[in-house]
Amino acid sequence: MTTISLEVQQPQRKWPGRRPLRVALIGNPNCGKTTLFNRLTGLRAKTSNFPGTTLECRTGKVKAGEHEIDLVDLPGLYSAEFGQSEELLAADALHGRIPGVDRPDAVIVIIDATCLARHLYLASEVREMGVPMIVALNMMDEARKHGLTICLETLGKELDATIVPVSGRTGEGIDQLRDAIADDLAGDETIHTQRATAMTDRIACTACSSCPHTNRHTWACGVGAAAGQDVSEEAERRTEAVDRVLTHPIAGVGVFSVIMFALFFLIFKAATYPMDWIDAGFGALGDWAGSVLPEGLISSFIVDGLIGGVGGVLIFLPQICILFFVLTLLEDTGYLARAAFVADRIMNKVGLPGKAFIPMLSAHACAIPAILSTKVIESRRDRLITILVIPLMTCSARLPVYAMVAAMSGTILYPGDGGAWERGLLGGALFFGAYMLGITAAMFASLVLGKTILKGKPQELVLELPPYRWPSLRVALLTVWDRGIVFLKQAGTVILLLSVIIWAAMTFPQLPEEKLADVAKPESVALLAQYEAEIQTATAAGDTETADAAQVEIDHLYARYATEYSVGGRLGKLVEPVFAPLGFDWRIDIGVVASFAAREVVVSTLAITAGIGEEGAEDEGLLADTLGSMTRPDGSRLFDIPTLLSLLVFFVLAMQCLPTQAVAARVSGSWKWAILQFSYMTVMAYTAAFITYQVASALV
Amino acid sequence: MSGSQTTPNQVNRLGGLGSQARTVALSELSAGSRGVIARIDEADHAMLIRLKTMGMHEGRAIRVVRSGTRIIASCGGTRIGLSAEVAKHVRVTPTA
Repeated sequence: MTTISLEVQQPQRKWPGRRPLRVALIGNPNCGKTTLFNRLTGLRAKTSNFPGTTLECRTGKVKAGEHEIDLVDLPGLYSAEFGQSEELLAADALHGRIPGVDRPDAVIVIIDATCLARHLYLASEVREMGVPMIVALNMMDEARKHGLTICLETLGKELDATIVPVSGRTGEGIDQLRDAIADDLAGDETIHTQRATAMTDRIACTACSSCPHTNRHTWACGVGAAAGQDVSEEAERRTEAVDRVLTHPIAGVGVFSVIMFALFFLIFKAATYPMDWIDAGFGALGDWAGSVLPEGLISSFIVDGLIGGVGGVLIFLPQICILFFVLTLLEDTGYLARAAFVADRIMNKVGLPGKAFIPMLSAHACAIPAILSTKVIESRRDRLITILVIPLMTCSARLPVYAMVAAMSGTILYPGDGGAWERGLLGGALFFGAYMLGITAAMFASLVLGKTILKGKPQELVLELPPYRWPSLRVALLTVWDRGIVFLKQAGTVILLLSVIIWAAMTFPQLPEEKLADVAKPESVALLAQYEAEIQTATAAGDTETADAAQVEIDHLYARYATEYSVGGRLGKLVEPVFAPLGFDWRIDIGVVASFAAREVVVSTLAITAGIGEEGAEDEGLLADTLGSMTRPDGSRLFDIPTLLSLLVFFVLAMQCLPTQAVAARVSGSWKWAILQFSYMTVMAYTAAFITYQVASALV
Repeated sequence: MSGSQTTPNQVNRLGGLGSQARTVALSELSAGSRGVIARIDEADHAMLIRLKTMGMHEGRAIRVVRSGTRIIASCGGTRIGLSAEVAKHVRVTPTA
């Protein structure tokens, strides 16, 4: 076998007329494709999935002359024939093998001018597909800096395509690329049909190898050498010098830890400001709506259901934006590839590849962007395991629960004004323990999953380490914009719907005000009478302040019993026997039930059932005191240390976030995985909380 | 170039074999060594094809940048990070 069967189809030029021309943008990973795509489309890009696949693609409109084309950004691929997961799906999309998705009408292949020979491989494959093609010779600015000269004529002749030198970073050549699109792709039909000749004619195949890669590479090297040259070894040395530190088994891990620490410091510190603004903004909006709307069901629906629900999602947006911003910058510099390289050995110990590390780390901010970023993991097994264990990491939504447990155990163990130090240390230990528990559980779960349901070994490391480059702020900002919108769309719609459902479950059936005295406990009835008497005397004395304060107390009492009276409250009582071995009573259960949709609601729900109203959750001291004073039927403290620990363990391990589940189902391609995720995490959380409660009760 | 299945040990024993036949697994080369790729054994298909599409193929010059359980090799202007497990299947004819 000395020839390779490369069938060249005559490019069929069909200007579709009615619909815009669909042009696919393809290139090797790290060829600067995203930058170029953003240059061409600006903010007019949409992210969506190819029908029936988990392949995400961005589509944008590009003005080329008087035409407007649809530019489709496919994931980076090394070859249009061979590959795995994303790469294979991208190749399928290119060949029109995805049902319901037409083959692109034309292709723009991006070639890195500093590394001609390797990138020509893909270009040669596309050329043989017989699709009209334009070659964008990217990173020309960098090539010039390295003193490389490239003969565009030779390259154009060999590839039978228009070659446009560009730089996505500086914007050089973008207008010429638009012109080429208008002239070559959207223009006259005769240009391309004459061009196709079989590559087999051109390959001087002297090596007696049957390997089609070698033949293609030989051709690519030949053309690359004829048209230009690759970056000298001298230039490579600089990258290698940096790599000696960054990929070092010890120093590399050190640098990695520092960078990741800085990232999380940014996420938790810098994000506080916009988060406070969002919180304050939605609070003000809620107050305003509450004051404008007549008191009642509609007001409650809009203020608590809608505004509270949307605010609850938006509050996480700053953290997610910072996460994506920094990760995009890091990826752009080429550092993330080194991070995956360094992490590979460590991650292999728990049966995962190095590429799983960044998603798992991101999960400490929010599981949703983390699951979305698992797409970089090639092997399906590795990707599924990563998705399944990601929600075990401590996300921001768990922090209010941790803070509550820390404050309450501090009050129990170190009461009084002294002991601030001890309380601080205890809080730190509890937080650290909770984070570690999540990480350990994730390692344990991935080991078990990798030996049972998703049997196999993590994919061996094969990873390109691109040259270090200055990151582009523009790309990072556009990515943040893009990802932010995806997050709002995916999480926003689901969580909005859920907020409405939770609101309804905690509101209906409504407790008629006159029935409060019937359902309330004797001591509450006594309190009610006391407050009413207070109001009367205060009003008579003209002391509106005391009267208002008493009225607020009555409202809190009412809210408490109204919650108990609602579907959610009844459900809490219904499941009491289930959670009793964990030390939870029905009041905690109401919070647990509500938190299965979104865990951050548990604190406010507990505040309501404790009778201090939703706003009571804002005041940490008041909340800790009030919850701390709640008792069991036998008069003992409800939130004792064993219960608090059990609650903490349960919230670390339980899958309590429906938006995450929706995203997991989408990215994994099936609800089956989301259900498995929910089941194993709930079982694990229940078991661990049970053991914690029983052991702690025996010890205390 | 084919048929060079001698292990480094055999090569040492046989001593005087021509440089043509002397191939070493990429995983056994130390940092800084250079060579030409002689053969890529078909063991782990997917990963080896990936290596090839990244530009690591027979006849190409290769340089080891980092050795160990995780290796960095420079080939055709591209740096590739790979595990020793994969590198075992890449046979290299060392050059000076």
